[in-house]
Amino acid sequence: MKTLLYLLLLVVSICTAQTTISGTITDQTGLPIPGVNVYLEGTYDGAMTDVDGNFKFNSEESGIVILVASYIGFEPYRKESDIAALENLDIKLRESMNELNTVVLSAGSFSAGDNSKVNALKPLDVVTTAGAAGDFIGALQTLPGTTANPDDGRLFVRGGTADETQIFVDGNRVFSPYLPTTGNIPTRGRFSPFLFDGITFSTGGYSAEYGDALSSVLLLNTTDFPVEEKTEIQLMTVGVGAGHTEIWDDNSVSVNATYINLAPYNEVVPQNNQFIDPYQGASGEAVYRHKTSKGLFKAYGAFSYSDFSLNQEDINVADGFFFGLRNRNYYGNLNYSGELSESWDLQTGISLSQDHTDLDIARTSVDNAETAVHAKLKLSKRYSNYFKIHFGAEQFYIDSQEKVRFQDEPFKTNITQNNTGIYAETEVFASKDLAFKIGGRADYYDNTQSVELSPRLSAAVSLSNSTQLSAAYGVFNQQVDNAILQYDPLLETETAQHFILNFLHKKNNRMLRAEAYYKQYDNLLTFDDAMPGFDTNYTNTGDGYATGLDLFWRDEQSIKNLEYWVSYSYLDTQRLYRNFPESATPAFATDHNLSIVTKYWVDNLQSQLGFTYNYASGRPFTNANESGFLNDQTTSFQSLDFNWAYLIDDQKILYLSVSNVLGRDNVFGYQYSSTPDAQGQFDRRTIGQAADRFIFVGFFWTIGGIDNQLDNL
Amino acid sequence: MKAITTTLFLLLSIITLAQSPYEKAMTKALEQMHENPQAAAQQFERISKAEKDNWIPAYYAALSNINSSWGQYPKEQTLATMEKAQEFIDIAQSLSPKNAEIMVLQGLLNTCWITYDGSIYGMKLSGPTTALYEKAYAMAPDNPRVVSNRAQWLMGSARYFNKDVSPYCSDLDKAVALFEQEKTSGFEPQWGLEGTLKAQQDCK
Repeated sequence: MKTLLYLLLLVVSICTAQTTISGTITDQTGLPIPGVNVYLEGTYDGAMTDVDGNFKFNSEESGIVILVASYIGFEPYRKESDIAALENLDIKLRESMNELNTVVLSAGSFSAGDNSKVNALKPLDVVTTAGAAGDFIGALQTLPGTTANPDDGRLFVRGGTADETQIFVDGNRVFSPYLPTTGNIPTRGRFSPFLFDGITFSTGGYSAEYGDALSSVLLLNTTDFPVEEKTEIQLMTVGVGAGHTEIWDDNSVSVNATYINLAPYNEVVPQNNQFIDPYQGASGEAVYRHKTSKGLFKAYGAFSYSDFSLNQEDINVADGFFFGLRNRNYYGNLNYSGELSESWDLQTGISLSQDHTDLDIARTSVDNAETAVHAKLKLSKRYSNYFKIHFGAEQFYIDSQEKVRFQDEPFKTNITQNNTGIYAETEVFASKDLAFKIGGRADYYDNTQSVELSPRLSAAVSLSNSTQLSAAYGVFNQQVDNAILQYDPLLETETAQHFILNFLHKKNNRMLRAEAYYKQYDNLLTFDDAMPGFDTNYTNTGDGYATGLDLFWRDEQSIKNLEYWVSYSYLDTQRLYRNFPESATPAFATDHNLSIVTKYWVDNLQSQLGFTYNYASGRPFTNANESGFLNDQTTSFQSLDFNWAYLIDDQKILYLSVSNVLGRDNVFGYQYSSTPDAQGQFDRRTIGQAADRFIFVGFFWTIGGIDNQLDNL
Repeated sequence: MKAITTTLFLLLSIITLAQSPYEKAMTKALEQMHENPQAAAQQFERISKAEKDNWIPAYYAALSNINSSWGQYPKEQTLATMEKAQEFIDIAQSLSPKNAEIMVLQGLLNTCWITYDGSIYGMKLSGPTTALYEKAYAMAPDNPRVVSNRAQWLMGSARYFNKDVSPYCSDLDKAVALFEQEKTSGFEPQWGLEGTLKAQQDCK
């Protein structure tokens, strides 16, 4: 009884022993911060600072306590102290860094996706840009830094060939990202744009994480764990498709399949090529995802098959010649990303790709097979918001075989590569207005037993809340194309140095981006034959440069329901490479490129109408009737594309797109006769559009009751 | 006997004494939610940090931050507030998984993101939000906040597609009836009647 009373007294006495805690909270510049939450950790004792940054509260705690001051937008403050010493404190809070107030290392990069300051495109733009017809590669071609080559369809960045851009899915390299095609029929990306929710397109100066790419990298991140089960059906003028997503516990599976056949379309809409078997393709994809307590595992697999044949026109062959193509492609990757601890992140993956192409060209048959593996491990350590380190290692195995049969004479070549890369990079924020990224990578190339080092640097500084300046420098190496390497495995890597200066202004949903760059190419491959073969002499003595200015303006504020962007690129480039007799501007590089993309939402029609206008100045070509190399220019390329997406309801969408609405007869180049006529002139054939227009109508229907077709708009 | 009674009484009073700071702090924070949401959010944050096994303070800390995320503040502040709300939803969810009340909060926070930038988050979050409300509804069809917020979300979608909102009016009526019957103990969630009555005006 006595003990209890004593206990009670003790409780009461503790209750009455009050200490006052007080002080002032200011930011780094000495301005008071009102509204800060100040409290003793593990207790309810605390207060909020007033307009002058002052706080005062009482506590019944005693001894050593932890004082916490936390406020949105600032780094939390913690102080361990004897409670008696917590009076008249003077606390300074450091502003924390978030997406809106922090400088971004943006030189070279465009991204589409989350809420980042440097976003040029939104995820939706990828599928709703007129002219892109649902191909994300097509949408990226409306960004500055790219050169329009609508007869090819791949990405040509800043005077680089399409092979100088590498594409990655969830960090793993994709070895054959494009559907196979033949000259003058544009290709498309192999993947469905609906698979990705983050796209970063870097036109130069990218992170040391990525190697073996001279000009550009395109990073695609697949969507994370789905939250809804659904079934989708697609009916299109060119084929059909279906998909389904199933979720159970911490697992989900999404599958989809598409069949495309252009025969009926070609019957209705005349083509400029004489198809024998019109294009047909079947593809299927499956993604399995499993959530673990600290991460996400993804397994992705895709299969595609395509074939077509046509009678290819040729100025030197009166009736043209037969061209047939059959391709099978398997691609799969396994990926895991997760937290190892509060500050350590791990990302690892392996991709396997098998590509098989059979070509029949006149009386020659070519059988091409490539097996490639890419394994990668990446670790990130976050010391604070101000200092981070990333490092990793990757291994490539590429085996490529070519069997050629010419008039029953078989001929076989093979090249195997085993290359290793390691990299490390640190991100340092001196403040929220000044940031640096310093890193480098080392690549070991097995065939030449050589190591190539590639340093990378970038820096960014805020000029004001809405403007920033950034710069990047880097050395980039890339191995010579397999088709050449199989004849000479000892060829060195080609190199490029990038120098980039970037200005970014973003305010009120308007964005202006200007970027100037200089790119120096060295060690470019050269050879002395019209067609590379075994007897050809190869060297790494070519070089070149590309310099220019890219401008981008996006505005979604000025006119209600209208979003538009304008991209302009000026490019000055010359190179001595392959079998060029002298330094010259290659045929794929045009001086001026302009894209204007508009999207207008019509409320009472539940429709989005879009127009895209593309302009590219004339392309260089060699006029055989004049002396010199790449001595002439075609007329400019121009195209006006239209699309209309109509939301019938939240589950059905009707989509119409027409490319080259005005039917302009664009010229991409000329093929000259190999022999002159009686007057000594060389006759020529125009290489023009595959079709004057392309018309696409699709109906997309999502079944499942709880899904929303907004996903697909 | 007397000694036992006294001991029990004293023990109880000590327990009550020990409990009361929580109750006192929660009551004060709840009172502040209307006139000073920021102070309330901070009070709930303090309680949540002290009550490491109780999902309710984290729930209210999230709710107070959501109430400040409807675009009434500058963009930068809204973004930070939404991130704070998500932090507390995650805490609440880890303490009480499969809780329909917390799913409603997530649904509301998703709506804040869509309000923040519809052209990005409308696409990304509208499907998942519908799925979330359906899941909550399947778990707790008689929870008035689940019934009401699900109906209000579906009405918002219908309005977007120029469709009739009246199919959801009966859900709102049902929610009002459920609110009137609702018996909550302690600090369990009990808000939502006011908003439901306001939403009902669209049905007239």
